[in-house]
Amino acid sequence: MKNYNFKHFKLNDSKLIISVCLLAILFFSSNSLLAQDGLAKNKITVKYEQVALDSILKDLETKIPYRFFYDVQQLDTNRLYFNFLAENIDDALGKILNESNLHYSILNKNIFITKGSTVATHLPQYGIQSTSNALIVNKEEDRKFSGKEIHVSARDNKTVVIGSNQADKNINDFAISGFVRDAKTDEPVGAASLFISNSPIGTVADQYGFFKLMLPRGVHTLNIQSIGMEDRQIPIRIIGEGRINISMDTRIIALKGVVVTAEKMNTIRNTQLGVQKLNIKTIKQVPVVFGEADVLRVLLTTPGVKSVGEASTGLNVRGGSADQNLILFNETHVFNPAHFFGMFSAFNPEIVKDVEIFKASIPAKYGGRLSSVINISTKEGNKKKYEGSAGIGLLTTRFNLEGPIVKDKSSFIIGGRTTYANWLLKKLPSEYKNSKAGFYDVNLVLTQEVNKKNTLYITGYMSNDQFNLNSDTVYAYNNYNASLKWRHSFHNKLYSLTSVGFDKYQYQIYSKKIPVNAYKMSFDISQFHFKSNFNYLASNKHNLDYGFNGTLYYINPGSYQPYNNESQIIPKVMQREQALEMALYLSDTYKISRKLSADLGLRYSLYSFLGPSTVNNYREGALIIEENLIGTTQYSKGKNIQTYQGPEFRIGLRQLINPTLSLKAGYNSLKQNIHMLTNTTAMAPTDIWKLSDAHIKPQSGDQLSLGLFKSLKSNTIEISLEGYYKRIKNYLDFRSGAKLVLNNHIETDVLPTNGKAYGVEFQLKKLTGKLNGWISYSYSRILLKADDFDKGEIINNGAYYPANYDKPHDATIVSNYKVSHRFSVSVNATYSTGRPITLPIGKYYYNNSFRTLYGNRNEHRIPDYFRMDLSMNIDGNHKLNQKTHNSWTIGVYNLTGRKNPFSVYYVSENGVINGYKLSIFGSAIPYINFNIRF
Amino acid sequence: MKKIYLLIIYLSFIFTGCKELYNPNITTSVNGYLTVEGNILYGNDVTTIKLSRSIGLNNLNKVIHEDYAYVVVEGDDNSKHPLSFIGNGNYQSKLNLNKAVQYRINITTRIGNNYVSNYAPVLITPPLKTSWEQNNNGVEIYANTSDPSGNTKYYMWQYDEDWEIRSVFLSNLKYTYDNNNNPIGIEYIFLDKSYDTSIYRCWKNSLSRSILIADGTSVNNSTLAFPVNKITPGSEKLSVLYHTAIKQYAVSAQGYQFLLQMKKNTEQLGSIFDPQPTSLKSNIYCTNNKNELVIGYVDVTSVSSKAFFINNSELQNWRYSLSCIVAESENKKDSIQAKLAGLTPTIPLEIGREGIKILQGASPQCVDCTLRGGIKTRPPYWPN
Repeated sequence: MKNYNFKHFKLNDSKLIISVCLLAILFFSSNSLLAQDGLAKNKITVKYEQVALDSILKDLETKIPYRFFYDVQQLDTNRLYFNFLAENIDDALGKILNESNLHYSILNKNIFITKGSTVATHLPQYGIQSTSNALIVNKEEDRKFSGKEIHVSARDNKTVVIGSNQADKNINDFAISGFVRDAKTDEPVGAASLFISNSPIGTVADQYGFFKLMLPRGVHTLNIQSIGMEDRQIPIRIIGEGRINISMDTRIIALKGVVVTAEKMNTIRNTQLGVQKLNIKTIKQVPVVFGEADVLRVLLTTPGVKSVGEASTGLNVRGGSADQNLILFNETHVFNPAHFFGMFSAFNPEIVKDVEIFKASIPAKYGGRLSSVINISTKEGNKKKYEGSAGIGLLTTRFNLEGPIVKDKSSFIIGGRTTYANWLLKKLPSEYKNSKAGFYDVNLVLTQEVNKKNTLYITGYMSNDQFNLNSDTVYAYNNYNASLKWRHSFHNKLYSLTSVGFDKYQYQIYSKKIPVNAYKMSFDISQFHFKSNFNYLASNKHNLDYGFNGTLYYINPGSYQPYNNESQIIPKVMQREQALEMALYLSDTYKISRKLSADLGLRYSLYSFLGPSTVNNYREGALIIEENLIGTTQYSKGKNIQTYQGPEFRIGLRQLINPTLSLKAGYNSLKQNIHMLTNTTAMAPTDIWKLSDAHIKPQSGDQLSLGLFKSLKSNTIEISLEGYYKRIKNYLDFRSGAKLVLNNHIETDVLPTNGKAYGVEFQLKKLTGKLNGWISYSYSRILLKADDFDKGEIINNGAYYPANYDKPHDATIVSNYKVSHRFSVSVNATYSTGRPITLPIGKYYYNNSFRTLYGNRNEHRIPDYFRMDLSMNIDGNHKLNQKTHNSWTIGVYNLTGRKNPFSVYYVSENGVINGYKLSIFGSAIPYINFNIRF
Repeated sequence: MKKIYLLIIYLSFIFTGCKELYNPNITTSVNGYLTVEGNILYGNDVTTIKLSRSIGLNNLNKVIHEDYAYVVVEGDDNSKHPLSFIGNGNYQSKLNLNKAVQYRINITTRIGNNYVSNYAPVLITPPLKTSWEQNNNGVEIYANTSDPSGNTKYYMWQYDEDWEIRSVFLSNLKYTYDNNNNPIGIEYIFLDKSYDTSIYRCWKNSLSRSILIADGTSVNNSTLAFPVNKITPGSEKLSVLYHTAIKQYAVSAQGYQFLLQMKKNTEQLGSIFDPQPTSLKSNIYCTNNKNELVIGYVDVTSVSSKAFFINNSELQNWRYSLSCIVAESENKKDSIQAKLAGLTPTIPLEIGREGIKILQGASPQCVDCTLRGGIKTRPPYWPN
């Protein structure tokens, strides 16, 4: 407190009215304060006749060891009359100020005098505004604090007092909670970092802008930072529990000099390892093919995230396969996140707010996948006014519209995207002229604030893709997702988030060229999920997260049916699979000391594969092969056929070595009961999902990771170095010649393998300043092993072999240079080792043709990958009040025109073998995009 | 419109040049794995087993035959039916098999290694029907099959095809040459000035090179329609008369899987969503070394065949074309060398007192059908 440097100041009334936000009432007893302060002991004897208040105060200053601070304009100019005889200064001041309807407050040896309103206790009464800090005490009000909220507007710099004097004097730490919102739109500012100056206390607001802190009694400076928002510093005085809602302004003009941003403070301080968070602004700066900002593809530029090639949005995180990622779009689960042969991700960039990936420290509330959780959050609709944006590119167009339904209470945001490449494909050379491709997606998010304690969110998502690749076989697939979320705040220390939802993915393949053979083949997976999460801030040392997850899965593994009446196809419909997965979890973020904190999580999952089902029986102890299939057993509806259960551990430790350097360690174990069956390299739309059952065991894995995090140059540069070692059990590879579709004994065609993955990841990140971006490098391996003949087959003589997506070296530079506020240039470059492939070891002559002979799996690699992209972002003018704002993105993908091979393959053509190298993009691809905001 | 044009160019720009020939240097050498092709045939057809050895990927495309082996078909009733070596790795015999017995192949190579297949039951192939239709894709030939007994679930087909080609021009002239083999003049081929018809009609043939298999379990038995062959519009094959003989075989489920995997590995790669190649599951193993890789799957089955003709007159707008250069020249050395360079003389156009004054020449492939790869031997079944 002694650091505060108070000055006399002038107060501007009109500004005061604006700056005082919705509610700002502080309840405090001046008596107790004065008693504490010893002011009451000073007695004065003085007489004033026809003296102005200003003069009285000046005179008093000379008599007592206190200084007064006030706005002269607030003082009455009336001449006053007082006569004090050995009066307590306390009483004397009370009398003097009461006469003028003024209040006072005390800090150290300073007395602040303010003009108060006694009209309504709920309305803002007054505030002392200073360029520095001040403390407000409402002398009159002495009420018990309960559920009162303090709103701090964006331009408000008053000291805020939180709590009531009635708080138990023996308690020194209080729970403070609240929301961080955008001042203009009232939308939550997610991931805002809140921390107390010169203290290790800090937290990060969740995606709803909600935060909780345990703060000791006393005066603090609360810092709030979020990317793209003006940083805030709010002086607060904690005397009890309370809520504080903070508004932040969008940063319109980038500040020169050092800007501290949220994620940076965050990374050093939190206990999580292997977490990346990117907001849409950063995502949009990164050049991508066709200029369509791509949420998932940007993740590929961060260390430890890879894909098999350009036509795949299937992510391989730290040696995980593409199905080991839990991709959440506002809590709903998207099974196939790809559009247009995998060239676009399925998320409309116009409505995405940010994306977060957990590679190592997967919070206990998430489960069911082995390698990562990717959380895509959408924006919430603007609660104050209607606005929207639209964009047009060469292949796609997109729009979004948002606005209030009931002003300040509820809002909507709707987004849509479609492509019009179809007619263009038709006009291409004969090789492609019969190809067709099209997609669309629609998103809707509704937010309804029921009251201060309850908020409802509805998310809807739908996507459709349809294509054929120069043949008469048409592929089509859809995602459908819907969820209802209810956020309830019990009190400042406890809130809950409950959601129910439905997710579905389906695909269909049909061909009707030969009428008698015309068929349609389809697959679908759907799940109902229920999630209930409680967050309880037990003390300033313990923050608990606990809850329950339940998922009911239904899979129709495939049906093959006649396309029309003429067709003579025998229908084949596979039996439906169903399973229930439940999990209970508890985790504690435990601040052991100022420097050491831990995240301790335990999750227990219980999975049941349920009837009705016909389960294949194999000879006892014999190999699971078709020849050993001896019969089947029928199970009735709802009958529990197979249960898998077990605990999962999530442990994280953080040791702060100094304020800019921390060391972290983590251990995670996970289980996965749903498997994607694929024998293609890229994630194909025809891949099917399979539930763990009587024969197929869940995949499991654990990971040990270590990380060193350092920030430099006032936190503008952040460096991280992480290492990990991972074990994977029962990952499903496929046996040679496997048949994965319409196979009702799929267990004879898959092959459980064990794997190990390890690697080192380095990242240097600078997200602010004229030049920003990041450099990442990772060395990582993923090796699989199938050495048990009893499980079906021995591959590569039982030795470890690299998985399809094993790319040891991977380096990426993402950079953006802001030439001016309206013009920026982005360049990125990426290099990686070519992925492994199985190449022929020889050839033989069969059926009048030479044919390739394949040997061991994945013993060769395709040539290395290198790509460089350039983009320029040109903004229209930045005048705030104009009706529309537009911007252009112009760029070149694959600037060097390098033909990066996607695959190398051999085919027998006219009796001889020809080898080919297939690239997705054979040249530099220029693109242009126009965006408009209104 | 100009914008659309630009967009088209833009897209062609993106999608072209993506596929390139590529031959990485693979040093792994293969020491000749035995390849066994053919089925043991029940009924009146001749069983042919072809034995060869695999070679390195970058070796010349020359088949290494496995000759002088001892090949015998063995029944589980201890019957033995030897095959005779007829050259080029082929072993043949007409076998007299019993439908109730299971058979296998037993091969002993010249150097003494012994290979046997698993015993397999006799499969009876249902009769083959064929059909063809002309559509936008040309002519498509279908194998239509049905097995009322329901025993046959998997099928394989092979075909061979022959077609007649005809020269555009008849010729009764030929060059005379100097010592340096430069044409200096012309003369009649035959003294009676008749045309050389031997190079007017030729025949060509080819075999199915693609693995043609179908899973009949998904289709009602009465109506499996499998497109066996496709002839692209305007193809030479149907320029005059075309003949094809199709053979149908019933195969076992594992035999089908073997062929399907071979097809996937060697014919169906190259898309974005390729399955990865995997090793083949043979039913033949080396008794001396069970880990030795052997390529082949031998089933015991019968053959159903069907052969038929398609005449160009049965087609509409086939539009076969052969480009020919035609030129005239005076019958003088200099003129012939200048105007008929690279052409073959066809017929006299003007005959004067001293013989041919002006003659015609045409592209050699338009005169001599053997230059188009044809052979002059008419197949025995060819109509006149």
